[in-house]
Amino acid sequence: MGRRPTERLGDMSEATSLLICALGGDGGGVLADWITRAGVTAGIEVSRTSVPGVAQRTGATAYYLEFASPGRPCLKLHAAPGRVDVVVATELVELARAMSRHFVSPQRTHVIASTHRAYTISERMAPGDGRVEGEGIVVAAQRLSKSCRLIDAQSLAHASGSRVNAVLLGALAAAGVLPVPASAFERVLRSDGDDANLRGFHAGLAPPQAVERGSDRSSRALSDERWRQALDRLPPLAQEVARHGAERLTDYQGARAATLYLDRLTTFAPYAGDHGELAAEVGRQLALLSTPDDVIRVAQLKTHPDRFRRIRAEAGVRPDQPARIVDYLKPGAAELAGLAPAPLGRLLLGLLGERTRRSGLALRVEVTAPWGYLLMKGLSMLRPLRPLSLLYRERQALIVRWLELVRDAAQRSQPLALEVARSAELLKGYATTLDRTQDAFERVLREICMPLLTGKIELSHGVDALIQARHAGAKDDGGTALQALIAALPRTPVADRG
Amino acid sequence: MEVSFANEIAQLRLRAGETFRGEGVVAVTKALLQSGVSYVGGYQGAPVSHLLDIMVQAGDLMDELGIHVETSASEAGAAAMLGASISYPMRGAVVWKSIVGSNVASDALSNLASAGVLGGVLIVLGEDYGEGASVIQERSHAFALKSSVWLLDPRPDLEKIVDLVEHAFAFSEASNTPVMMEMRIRACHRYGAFESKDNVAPAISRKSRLSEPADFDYARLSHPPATFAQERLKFEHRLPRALAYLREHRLNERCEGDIAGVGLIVQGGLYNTVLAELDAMGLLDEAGESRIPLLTLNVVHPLDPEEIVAFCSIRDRVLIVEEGAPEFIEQAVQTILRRASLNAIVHGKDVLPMAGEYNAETVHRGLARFFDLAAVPHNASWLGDLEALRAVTAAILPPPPERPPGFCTGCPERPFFSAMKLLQKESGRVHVAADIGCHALATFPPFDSGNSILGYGMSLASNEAVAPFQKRRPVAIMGDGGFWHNGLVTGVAGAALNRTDQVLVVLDNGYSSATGVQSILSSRSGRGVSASIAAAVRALGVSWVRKVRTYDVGAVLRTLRRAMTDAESGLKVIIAEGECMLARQRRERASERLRLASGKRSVRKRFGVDEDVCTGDHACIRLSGCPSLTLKPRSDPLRTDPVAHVDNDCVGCGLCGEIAHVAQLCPSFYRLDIVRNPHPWERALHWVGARLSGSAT
Repeated sequence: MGRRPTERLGDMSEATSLLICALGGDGGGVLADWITRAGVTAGIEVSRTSVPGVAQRTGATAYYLEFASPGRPCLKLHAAPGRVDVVVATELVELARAMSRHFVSPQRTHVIASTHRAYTISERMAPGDGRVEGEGIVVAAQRLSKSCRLIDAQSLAHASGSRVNAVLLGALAAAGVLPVPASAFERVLRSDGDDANLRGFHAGLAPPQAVERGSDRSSRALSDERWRQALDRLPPLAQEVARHGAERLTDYQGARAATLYLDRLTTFAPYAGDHGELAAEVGRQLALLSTPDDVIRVAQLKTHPDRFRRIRAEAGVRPDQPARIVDYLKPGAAELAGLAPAPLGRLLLGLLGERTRRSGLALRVEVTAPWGYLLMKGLSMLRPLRPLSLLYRERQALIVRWLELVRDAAQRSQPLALEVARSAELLKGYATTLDRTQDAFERVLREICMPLLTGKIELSHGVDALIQARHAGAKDDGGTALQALIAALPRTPVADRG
Repeated sequence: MEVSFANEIAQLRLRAGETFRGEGVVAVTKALLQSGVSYVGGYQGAPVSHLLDIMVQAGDLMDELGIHVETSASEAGAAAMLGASISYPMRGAVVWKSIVGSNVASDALSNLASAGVLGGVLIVLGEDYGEGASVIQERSHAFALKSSVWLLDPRPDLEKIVDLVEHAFAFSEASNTPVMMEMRIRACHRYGAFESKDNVAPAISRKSRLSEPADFDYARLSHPPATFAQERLKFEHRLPRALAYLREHRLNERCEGDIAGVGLIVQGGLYNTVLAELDAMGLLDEAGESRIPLLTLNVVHPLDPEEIVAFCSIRDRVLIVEEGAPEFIEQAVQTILRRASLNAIVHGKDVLPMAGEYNAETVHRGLARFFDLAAVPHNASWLGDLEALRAVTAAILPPPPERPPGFCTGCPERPFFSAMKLLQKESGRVHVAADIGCHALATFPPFDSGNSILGYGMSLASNEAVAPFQKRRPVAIMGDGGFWHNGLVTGVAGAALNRTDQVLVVLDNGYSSATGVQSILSSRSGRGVSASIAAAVRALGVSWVRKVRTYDVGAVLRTLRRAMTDAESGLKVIIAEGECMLARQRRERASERLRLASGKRSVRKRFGVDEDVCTGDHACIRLSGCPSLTLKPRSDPLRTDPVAHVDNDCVGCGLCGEIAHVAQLCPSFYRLDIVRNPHPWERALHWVGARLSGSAT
């Protein structure tokens, strides 16, 4: 009858299977190709297939390879869960994906992966912090694998002027889990003649031991001394935050503002029944609330000498290399009017129509050019006049209102006070974002905190309601989630009658 | 600029006895040359784009052999091109992505199959099914059945695939019938080796032309009354010859096993998976051969009743391992066995799932059920181990976040969808008809855009019955690829004829990018002829036509607003232009290297975010989604949220700055212009400036 298939499957102990999990644009295909060629040059039959996905376009991609002895080719087309010998992942969440698809098993699978993160779109889109916790993935990899070689391939690649795939090839060679000698991998890279890849390979082959990161914050004994008295009145847990807060305020508006900040904060010392957690939270939020990023602040940050140094360093610009920095600014009409002294500012805002108030002045300021620098520096020098401005007055009024509510809450319940304090976290951004988030924050104060503290909403619902409100209010959805949440809050019978 | 295939082209030139090493789709290309094809055509689409791309780039080799290669305007064009082999004894091959390409080609395909062919005809189908697929999940098998076209499903081994390509032409000629060959994604990307043969120059070629056209022969026209005769010919003449060919050349493969009471009938493409699972169940012998009798169908249509009967007559139970729905082979085998009055029990979709890819676990479970029913002892420990592994994993690892594909860094289509998002924020949601192409990536976060997808170039036509019932005009999105493929004749012509009041946006990036950056009619480089999309729609009577640069988000937004509110009724066409960033980078990086090497001044632009200005709301990311606009932990001890951060992959497209301006987000973004090979006076100014601003290190 028919011819028998010529291909045979080696028995499972003979074929070694390898799965590469990568992201489009990560060089997973190139890595697979290097490994294939290294196997072939070492006289090993390698078969490979892939589902490159929409390569180049950031989605997850997978490459599957099998190694057999000469004369016994192998041919599986799918990685089978629980039956993969080596998993190489170019990124931490892709390792998690390989594990969640059960390609990593404690009996069989050696893992070589990079611990760096390329954040997914859902993590990046989230207002606030939507990042996946990476520590859990590392722990899972250690428990689920037979052996586990985790390195920050991105940092190693950066340090060696190479790419993640070359570093991982080095790590794979070092792991010695394939029937291919390390020298074969190196030969392939040499034959390509790309020094950058060789550097990366060697970085991955023998990664430097992780260096313990020491504290890089210089001590501020002097400033501590100045604020010692106030800081001593605070519970220990809050002192660090308070010091940072005072420093921030000094930079923002000078020593008097820092003193006001500490004075306000020390009134929370008596409530610190919970080891200072509340004082610390109030200290953190108060520092942020007291330093809104108005035009003056932005100008100050944009002309800071450290900024120029940092930008150039991040982009790897050599010290003698000219580089222009062009800032994209669009101060809103309301933000500009708000700089005027309070009565005038109010008048201006009244004169502006709703549309104009929402409009802004689109500017591209070349801050490294003389006129651009002088404009920004000039604006930043308005700092001493800031306390007269409408925005400053309004923000101070908001702070006073918020502090009163926190204090009020603290007299009833520590956890509730903590949540009232945290609601300030809602406040974020500039212009349209600030409008949206300030609206959310004020609604939470007005429509949740106030009714809670005046008994119109049952106090026992307070903590939950505020946690949910913090999430609902952060959504970029025109306020619908927050609205729905507020509408659904259980009112006390008194409130119903009222 | 298109991808370079220099390495693959070198493989195409291999001579007899030399070893080819490479991927399946390149092996098929080499096999076409070894088979003496006169002409090759097709339409690009994963996973078979490379076949045509390589041939197009290998112009010198094609000229040497006298082969005509063309990129068809659509799959319909490719199928019609095969008409050359109706009248002339020339071998021809075309390629497209199935199932979608087969759908588009089906009119010409029916006509071709009815008339029958003199020269061998092979249609290579890129079978886009299962993991990684981007189209609707249907079987190409249906086309083979309805048009009586033979269908090969080769065992995914390069040697076998090449052998079958060569057979396919002779098979086609022996039976006067076109042959299709399905190449699954994993087979296309399967890396392997085979021993090459010399390329064969075709007898009829561009170098050796026919002196006279074929004689008039009514029997070769798909036109009544010839069509009635052709229908009979298919079954009375062509089918018997095909069966004789496949028997004589043993295209299908049979493996006797010692467990004779049962047997498996397997689609060739699934052979490797089945064998691997038999191995895992301990059902291979010491030589690595199956102990279960196997009939591997490299030809899945037609089935040879004699072969099926011979295989099944000595068995109590057989299992058909057949991927996809409906179960055509299972039904055919049942019919064959009943006609032969055989009573072997036939299993198939009763133990295997009707839908979905047959991966290792699915096949393993199906085989296990079959062996349980047939009382064949087998090692079932893997499934138990797998359940245990599942439990352990679930206990310690939460499911990771999805990673949908998105627009490339700097993609010109992203800014358009940013503007669409802003438009809907200010004036309410609109019905959006999406289409096939890179722009379909806007259906994923952060854009989540699109109410329907009806096929390539079909978006505008799919809004015809939406527009009359909407208060706000619906918007149809189409790429330039889709526009020329089908959008112009189906969509624009329909809307123009019916004076439908709707909006068409043509995203003109200059290439068919989603399939690997191929030139199209309007491409201004490569094989393009700079055809004008605007002139084409105007020629069909559309008067409202606007062009806009996609990166100018403000201008896009204004143009969209106008299209949505303009008093003029009828079709409004916006042509949103911006060159594909992949193609642009490929070109610019090369010229940039030259500039720098010759000491010429050049400026590299990239964007950045000021960490202490960013408040961590990430509204910018929700309007962009650019891969290089990501997150970074904050060094500010008082703030906890990560800041937005532009990584070093930034190509300086400018969208970040545009969004910050148009949506009035924040003052965090800056553009950094790094001057390379600066003028001496630039250096001097920089030196002075750094000292005055206090930033000198």
